[in-house]
Amino acid sequence: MNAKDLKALLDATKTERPSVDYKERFNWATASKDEKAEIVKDLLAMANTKGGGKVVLGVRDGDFKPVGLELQEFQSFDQTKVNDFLHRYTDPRFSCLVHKLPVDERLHVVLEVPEFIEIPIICRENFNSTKDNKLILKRGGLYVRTEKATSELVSSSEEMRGLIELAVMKKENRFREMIVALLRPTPPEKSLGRRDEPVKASAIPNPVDPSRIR
Amino acid sequence: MENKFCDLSPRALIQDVENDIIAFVPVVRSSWGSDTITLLLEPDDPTDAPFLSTFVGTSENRVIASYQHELAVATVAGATHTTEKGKSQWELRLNQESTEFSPSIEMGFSGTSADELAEARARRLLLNENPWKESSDINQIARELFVRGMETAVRVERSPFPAIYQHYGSDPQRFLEIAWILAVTQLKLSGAVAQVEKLRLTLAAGALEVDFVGRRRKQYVNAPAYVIRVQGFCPLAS
Repeated sequence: MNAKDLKALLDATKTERPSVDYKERFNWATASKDEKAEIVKDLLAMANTKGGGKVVLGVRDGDFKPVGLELQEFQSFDQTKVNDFLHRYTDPRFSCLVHKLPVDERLHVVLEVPEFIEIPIICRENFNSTKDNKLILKRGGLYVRTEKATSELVSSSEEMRGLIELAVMKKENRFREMIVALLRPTPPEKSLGRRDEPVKASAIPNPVDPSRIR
Repeated sequence: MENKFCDLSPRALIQDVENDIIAFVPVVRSSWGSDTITLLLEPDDPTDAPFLSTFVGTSENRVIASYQHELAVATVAGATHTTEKGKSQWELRLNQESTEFSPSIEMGFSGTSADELAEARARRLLLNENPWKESSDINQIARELFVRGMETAVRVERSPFPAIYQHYGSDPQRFLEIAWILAVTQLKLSGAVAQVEKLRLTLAAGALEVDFVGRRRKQYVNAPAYVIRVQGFCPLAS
């Protein structure tokens, strides 16, 4: 996502959607764990939603007017820190992209989550509110975005079926791609190279596929 | 003359995923915790030092690190180069990202269970048994997808031993040490086994004798994990 994409999204926005959530203010450095856990819940739910989703910061609640973040809020976001927190609660582990984008002289941060790769993302740990002990994140919970643009635990057979269908569809597509790949002639084997050069990992038979590493 | 063998490699496998470079470096000391890994490495190959120096002053490089029976995908937290009495050593500090590589869901195929398919994968990897050959037979292709491993970081098409013997065969001990750690890495990354209990590689007259026992990921609370045993010879002529 770049500034142009965000501007188009903000210009078109009049409401939240399953794939988009807005927050007016957020400072990652000073936010409480409760506030961060609420963001994690949205990210978990979006990862289990077709096409993934985005949490856009710096957009006013109610009328969804872009107001921008303050400089300190904008600077408080760091991809590593956000993902370190996120990874505690996601199984399989997945990461979000943190985009810091100025649009029309206003500062916005967008947390972008891709759709899950193989299997739906499950919440790994419980998180109880530090204020009233209310459960914010439930261990083993499968969160999804609802049509009302809220992030909720799967509560109906219809939602669960949708999630399973999405996972099965991915599996079928991958199976098809793999069959097509095997029908192509195999490229000649690479040599491991000269002894005085570093060995290319891809030249070793059965190289690692980086896209399959979680 | 006694045949050379290896049943525990003194080398670590370090693979820089982004730059597609792999090194097999002798380890002097290691500390493998639940979150962090520290390896003190003493390179014995002239290409290792330039490779390891790429980690100095950088962070967040993603690597695959494997040593003895441990394997992790990790990010580089730091690297330090020291020289003492003319010997160069590198301390590599890593933050673990993942250590579990068995697929979340596995399927059987045409009367063959997922465990039996994994055993075929291990035999292919260790003995070069039934390596992949091009085919247009859809049944053979479908079976191949399961044997090589689906949803795994490594898909096993053949044994790596003949190719690395071509490269390192002039130094049999080095070849055995590299073959050992590479086999452990590929057995785990291909989801064939979750634990290696025994791997003994012996060089014997143009072939590699393999004696392997590994355990798959435990699937059920009330049933033991499936054990794969492989014994045989892998021809080394490519």
